[in-house]
Amino acid sequence: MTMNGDTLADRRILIVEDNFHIAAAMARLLKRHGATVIGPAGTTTDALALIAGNERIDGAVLDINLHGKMVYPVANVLLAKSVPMVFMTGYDDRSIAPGYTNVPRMQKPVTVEGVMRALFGGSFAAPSPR
Amino acid sequence: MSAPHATVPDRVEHLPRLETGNLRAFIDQAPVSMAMFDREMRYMAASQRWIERLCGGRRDVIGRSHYEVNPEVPQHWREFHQRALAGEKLGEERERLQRQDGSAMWVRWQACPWHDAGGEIGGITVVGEDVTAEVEREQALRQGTSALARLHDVGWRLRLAGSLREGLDEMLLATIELLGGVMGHVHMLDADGKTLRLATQYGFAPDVPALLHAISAADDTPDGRALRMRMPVAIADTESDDTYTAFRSVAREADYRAVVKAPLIGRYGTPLGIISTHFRVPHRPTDDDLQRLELYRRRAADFIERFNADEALRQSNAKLAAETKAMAQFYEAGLRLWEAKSLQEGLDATLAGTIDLLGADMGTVQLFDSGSKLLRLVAHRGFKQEFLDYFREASPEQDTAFGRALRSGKLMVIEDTERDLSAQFRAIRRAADYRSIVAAPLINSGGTLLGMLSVHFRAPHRLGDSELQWLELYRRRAADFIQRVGTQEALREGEERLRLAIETAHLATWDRDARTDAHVWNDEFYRIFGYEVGAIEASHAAWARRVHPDDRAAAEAVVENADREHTDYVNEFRVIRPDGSVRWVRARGRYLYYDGEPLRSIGLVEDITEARQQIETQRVLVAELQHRTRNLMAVVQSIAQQTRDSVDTLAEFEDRFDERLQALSRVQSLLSRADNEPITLGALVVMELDALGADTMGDKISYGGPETPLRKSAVEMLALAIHELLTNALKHGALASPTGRLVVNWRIDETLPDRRLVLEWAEYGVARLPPSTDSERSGYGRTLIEEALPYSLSAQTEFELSADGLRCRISLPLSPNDAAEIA
Repeated sequence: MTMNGDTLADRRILIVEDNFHIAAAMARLLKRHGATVIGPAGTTTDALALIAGNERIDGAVLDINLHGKMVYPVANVLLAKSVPMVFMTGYDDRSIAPGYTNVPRMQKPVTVEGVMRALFGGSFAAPSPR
Repeated sequence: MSAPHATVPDRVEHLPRLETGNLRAFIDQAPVSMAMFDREMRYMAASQRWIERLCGGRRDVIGRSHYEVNPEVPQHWREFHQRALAGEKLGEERERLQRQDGSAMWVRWQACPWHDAGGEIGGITVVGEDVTAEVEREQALRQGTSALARLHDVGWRLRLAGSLREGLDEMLLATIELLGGVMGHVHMLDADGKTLRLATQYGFAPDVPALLHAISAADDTPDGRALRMRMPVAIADTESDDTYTAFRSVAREADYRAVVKAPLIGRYGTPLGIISTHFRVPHRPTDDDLQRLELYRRRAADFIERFNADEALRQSNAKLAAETKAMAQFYEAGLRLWEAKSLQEGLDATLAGTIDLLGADMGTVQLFDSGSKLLRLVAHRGFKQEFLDYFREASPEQDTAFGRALRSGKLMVIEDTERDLSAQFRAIRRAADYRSIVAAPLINSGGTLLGMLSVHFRAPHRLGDSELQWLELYRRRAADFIQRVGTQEALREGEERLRLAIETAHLATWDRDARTDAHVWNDEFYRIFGYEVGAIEASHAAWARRVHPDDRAAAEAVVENADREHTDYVNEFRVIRPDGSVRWVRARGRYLYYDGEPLRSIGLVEDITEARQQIETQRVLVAELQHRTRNLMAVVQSIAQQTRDSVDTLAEFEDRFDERLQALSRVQSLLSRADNEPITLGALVVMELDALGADTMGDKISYGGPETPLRKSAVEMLALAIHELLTNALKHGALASPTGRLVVNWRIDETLPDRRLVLEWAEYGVARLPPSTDSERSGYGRTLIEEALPYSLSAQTEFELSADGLRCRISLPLSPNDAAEIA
C-alpha cells in the first residue's frame, strides 16, 4: 500500500506525548501528510483541556506513560467520544491495563503509515478500536 | 650206747618200764643236745645230737674229757662247768657262737650238777639247744618292724616335703639305709619315656660322673630292664655282671661294687623313675630286703604321683587365677575402649591394657599411613623423648621388629634384641633401654593393615602360650576399634560437611518412608514452609497446607508422575506462610525403589523467591532499556529533523547534528551512572564546559550555585539546553568576543508555592550582535528553551537578546512529586 501526502487531509489528530522531541517529530510528520495536529500535549491535564476545547477530533495518538502518569484518563474520555486512538509505548503489551486491550498499540518510533492504519483502517490495519 | 645205770636218777629207777634202751632212744630223739659229765668232766653219756654237733661225730667220747674232745671250749664255759660242779645251776637263753665257717649260730643251754646216791655231786649235765633259726626269725621281725617304722617316719616327712627334690632325698636316704648301702641316686623318667634324668644323689662326689646325669631307658641298660620288668634289678658285682659293662668305669670312679635298682612305678603302671642304691663291696639283697624295698618304692612312687598331681593342681590353680586376672584386665580394657571419646583415648587405653597384660615396661601404638607406607607414632608409654623422635615414623624396609611385622603381617616376638636383630638400631635400642619387643600388626577384617601395637621389655623376654593368645585378642580388638572409630569419624566428617553445606545453602531436605509415610524434615524445611522448627509433625498434609492452593494440584501431579515414571522430578510452586507472605520454592526429588515398590522419597527444597524477583527485575530493566532506546531514537529523529530545518548546507547539518548527537551521548553516559550518584545541575554545566573546551577560558566564565540533584527525566532536556546555550556563546556570543563574559548562576527559589530551581545564564560585553539571520538560523536552541523545556519539564523560560549579550532564565519546579524521581 502506498500513501500519498494528502491521505490525512482534513483529519484532526490529537497528539499526547511527554517527550517534546517525539511530539514535535510526530506533529511534523502528520502535518506533512496533511493532517491538522491538535496539541501536542505533554500531560493528561493539557490533553483533557485540548479535548474539551476541540469539538472535532478524528483520531488520537497517545503515549501511555506521561512522566510516570498513565494516560488512561485521556483514553477514557476519547473512548466515550468514540474517537479512534492508538497507544504509543516503549513497553511491551503486559504493561497496558486490561481494560484497554482493544486499543491498538504501536511501539516507538512510530511511522505515519502505521498510525494511519491503526486509526483509519486499511489492508494492514489493526482491528477497529470499537 | 653205753650209759652207766648208776648215773640214772632215782626217780627213773622207780619207773619199772623205762629200760635203759628206751631211755637212750628218748634222749636221742629229743631235739636237744645232752651230755653227762663226771666230776672230772669226763663224758659219761652224750646224746646223738650232741655227738654230731659238738664232737664232730666221734663215737668214742665216753670216758674222755670234754676238753680233750673239744679243745675249743671257750674259757667262760669252762668256768660255768666248774661253778656247776660246785653245785650251781646255770643257763643261758641265747648265746651267740661262731661257727667254724665263720657264720653265727645261737644256742640255749643249761648246766646243772647231778647227785649220787650219797647225795654228793657226781658231776654235771649239760643240755644245749640250737635256737639260731628262732633268733634269726626274731631278728628279722625286729628288722622288719624297724623298716616299717622307718617307712612310716619317711611317710610323714614326705608329706611335709616342700619340693619333689626334698621328698626324693628322704626316700633315697631311707632306701640306702634299708638296704645297707653307702650311696645312691634317683632318676626321673622324661615325659617321652626315653631318658632318665638325675634328680638327686647321696654319697657321690659333688661332680657326679657325667654319665649318670642322663641315662638311657632303653632295654639294654639295667635301668631300662628294671623299668620294663617293673621289678628291682640287683647288680651283685659290678665287675662281673655283663649287663653293667657300660657303667663299670663309673663304678670304679665312684668306688662301688654292687647296685640295687628299684623302679618307681605309678599306680596305673606308669614308670616314673628309679632309685639306685650302691654298695662298696659285692652285695646281694636278701629276700626280706627286697620285700621291704617293695613298700619303699611303692611309697616313693605314690609320693611322686601325689606331688605331681598336687603340683599340677597348684599350677592349674595358678593358671586359672592368671587367666581370670587376664580376662578381667581384658574386660576392663574393653570398657575403657568402649568409653573412649576419641581415637587417641582408645589407643592409649589399648596400649595400657596390653602393657598390663604382658607385664611390659613400655609400648607404642602406630598407625599405618597407606599413602606414605609409613607407620606413624600415635600413642606411647614409658619411652624417653629422644626415642619417640627417632621412631616417629617407621618404615617396613628397616630391620626392626616393626619392619619385620609389617613385612610378614604377623605377630613378631623378638625375645632378645641383641641376639635376634641386626646391629642397625642397636645404639638406639640400648639408649631406649629395652631388650625384647613384641610387635603386633593391627589388621582389619578385610586384611588391611591399620597400624602396629608394640610392647617392650627391659630384659630378654619370652611370651607364654596364654599370653600369646591374649595378645591376639587385644590385637584384634584394637584393630576393630581403629576400624570402627576411623569409619565413624569419616562418616561423621562426611555428614558434618554435607550438613554444613546444606545449612549454608539454606536448603530444606525431606525424607519420606514410603511404607510408613513417616516424614523427616530438616530445620530449614520448617522455616521455608512457615513452621516453627519442630513445632508440628512432618507430614504430607503439613506440606500441602502451605502450598498455594493454585499450585497444589500441579505440584501433586508432578510428584505422582515422577513416581509413575520412576524419574527424578523438579517442582516449582508457591508457599503461603501464616503471615501471608508468598515464597516461590523449587523442589527436586527422587523416589527410591526396592523390587519395583517405592521405598522412600527424598529431596531438597530451595527458596527461589529472590532469584525469581531478580529475573523479574531484569525483565523490567530490559523493558526499561528498550523504552529508553526507542525514546532516544525518537529524540535523535527529532533533532535530525529540526537541525535540518535550521541549516543551509549538508556540511553545516553534519557539524550541528554531530555536535548535538555528542551532547546527547554525553548525557546518556551520565544517566547510565545515575543509579550510583545523583546528577546535579553543576555536573551538567561542568560537563558541557569541559566538552566544548570552555573550561580553559578562565576568568571569562564564572558559574556556581547550590548542590542540586536533578530528576532523571529533566537531565536530558536540561543538558541539551545548556549545550545549545554554550554552543551559541562560543560561536556568536560572549565567548566569541574578546571582551565578553559569561556568568551562570542557579539557586533554589522557595518563595513560590512549589520549590523551583532557577538557572540564570547571562552574557556580557559582546561587541557585536549577531545578524538576525543567524539568530533565526540558530532557532533550534531557542525552540528547545522556549518550547521544549516548558513542554517537557513544565519549566518557565525567558530568552532575551539585549545590547551586550544574551540573558536566559530557566525556572523548573522541584515539586515533592518529583522527589522520587531524583536521579
